Amino acid sequence: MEKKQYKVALIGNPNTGKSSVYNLITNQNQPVGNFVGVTVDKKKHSILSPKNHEIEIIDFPGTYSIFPQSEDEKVVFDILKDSNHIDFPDIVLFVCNSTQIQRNLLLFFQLQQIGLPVVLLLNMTDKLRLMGKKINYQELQKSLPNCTILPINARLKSDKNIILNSLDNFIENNSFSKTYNTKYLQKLANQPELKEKDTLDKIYQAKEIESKVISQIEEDKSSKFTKKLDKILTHKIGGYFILLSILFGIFQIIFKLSETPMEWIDANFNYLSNILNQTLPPGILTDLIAQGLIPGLGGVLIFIPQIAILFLCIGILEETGYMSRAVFLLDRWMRPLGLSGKSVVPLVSSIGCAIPGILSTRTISGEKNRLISILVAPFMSCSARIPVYTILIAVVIPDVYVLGFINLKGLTLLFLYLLGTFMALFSAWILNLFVKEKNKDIFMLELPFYSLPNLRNLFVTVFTKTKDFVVGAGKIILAISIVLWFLASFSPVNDKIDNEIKHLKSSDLSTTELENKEASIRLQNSFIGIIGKTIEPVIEPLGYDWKIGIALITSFAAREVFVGTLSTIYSVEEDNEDGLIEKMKNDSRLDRKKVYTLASGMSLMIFYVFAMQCMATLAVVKRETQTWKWPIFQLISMGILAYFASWITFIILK
Amino acid sequence: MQIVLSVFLLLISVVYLGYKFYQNFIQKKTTCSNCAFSAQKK
Repeated sequence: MEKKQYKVALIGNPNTGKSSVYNLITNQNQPVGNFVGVTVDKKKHSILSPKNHEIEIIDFPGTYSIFPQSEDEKVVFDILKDSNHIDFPDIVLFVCNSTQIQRNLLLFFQLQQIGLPVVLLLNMTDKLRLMGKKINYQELQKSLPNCTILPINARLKSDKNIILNSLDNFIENNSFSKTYNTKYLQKLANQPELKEKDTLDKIYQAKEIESKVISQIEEDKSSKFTKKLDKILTHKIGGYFILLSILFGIFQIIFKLSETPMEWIDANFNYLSNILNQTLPPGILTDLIAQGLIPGLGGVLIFIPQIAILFLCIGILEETGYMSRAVFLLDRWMRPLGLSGKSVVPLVSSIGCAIPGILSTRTISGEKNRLISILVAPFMSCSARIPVYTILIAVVIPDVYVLGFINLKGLTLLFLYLLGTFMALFSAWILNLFVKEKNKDIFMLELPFYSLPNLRNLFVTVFTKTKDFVVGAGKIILAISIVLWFLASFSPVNDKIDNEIKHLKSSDLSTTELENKEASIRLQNSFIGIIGKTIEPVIEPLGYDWKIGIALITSFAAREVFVGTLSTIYSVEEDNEDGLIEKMKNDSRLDRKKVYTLASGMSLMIFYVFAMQCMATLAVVKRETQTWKWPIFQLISMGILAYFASWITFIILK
Repeated sequence: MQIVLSVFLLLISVVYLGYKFYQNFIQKKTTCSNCAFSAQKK
């Protein structure tokens, strides 16, 4: 007989630590943060309990009430209203923020009313202690007689067994519900007045319980500290100055710390490529490995330092609670622009990646506000732009210091990030003029207590994100490098190449010059050269040559492919000791003018700030808006904007 | 031998890229190649 799998749901208010509990009991590394809305869809994982019961843990998005206000909250309602739903739980682990028992208990009572057996996990009791408060557990158990109450700390490994043992006890005592009152949900969902009364009754009940079980025993130092710090960090002028300084510091650090390892990796991959070329038997496979695979792989690994530092900084901002303050500061700008404050969370999330950013728009209840947020989120500079920005900055921005201590390269990177943010806000404002919203969203931003970052969490986040970058981007870049190498190494017009080379040999050139010219002729007449030359007239006004044109096309798969593409093309063309950065710096046109100048480099960076160069984001926009109309609109409008902005940049700086 | 292996690598690459495209636009799973963040169908 097949063993029964028990379904256990993790449910609770936003930012109560559900994902931390999920990671604790499943040994997973799902993203967590001291930040509302990290989870916007359910996640599942199967485990074996200490007594060998098969348990499927389902982590739900945070919600304040069972009745949904937004798309992410709908996930909980849709499952719980139907006891035959495949994910309808046998047991609920209700994660409760001990510092806000009253607000948390509303959802708890709603779950109990459905008839679901609930285990109450009192999380963040350490924070409650810091606030100088104490819980009377006996009194709480008396007030909530039909549930198991477990004080836990989701950051402590030892608490894993406490939770799992309680599930084992529950299963062995067969304490499951026989019937569920899902009609309660269906009835109230259709009768707003009844729902309001029910909610108010439950809130009063929760308030009464909180006043009975929570007592202030010491002075509240934690809140005092948070309030004091908030006065400074969210100050209406000083707050922005601090935010800018923090961002400025991050980009300076990214450049300062990553420059040396970046050059080291670049040089070593080139060295490896040359060694392989010399030691492996000559042939097509050797060329493919030395000129296609290795440079392509180098194109990914070169960015490990930048990606790791960026995610470390984002992780610290989230874990300390500062990210919520940054959201608060941006929110002040959104409101005068007529936008919902909830649009800020997706924009801030998009600094890591536009996909979670777009998914987090599910927290926005107004359809049109949600649409605007989806449309502007890709303007925020995501981590995939880092490789493009840093390589171009390394090539075209001089290594000078402004005012003696501000590195111009770091400053340029900060400028690109701010430009993306400005364009996201500006285009949201423009779109808001055309798209009118009737129901304004109420945005309640929770400002969590400041806390020291958990080093384990930080390490896990940085390691996982960097590994994902290497493996994820690596596979795509490798595959594209192989295809590109073939396209760059073979030609449909071999006769033409032979004739040109014959003509070249009759001229009076040195052996090195002859070799270089020959490689250049072969590349220009290869499949990729012909494609590049065909599109060159379109991108020439922006200051780009055909090789950049090819990289623009391939980087539609993912922005970071830009670097892998150039790496492969240059290694096919130039078989020398230089790394990619040197090759790019030295590349010149027929008229001997450099390809990468300040004008063409900045123009290219501006193109990447504005253009929608990401297949996965387009797919996600299609999925979230349920139509092709909006991704196509995004692709075209952002493309036109990118083209003209780059053109103007090139003309001004030329 | 080198030619056979090279063509094999090319085929794998083309199939992989095609699969990625299919996975993003047709299947129910979108993944960012950069950070591996995955979005399931709603």
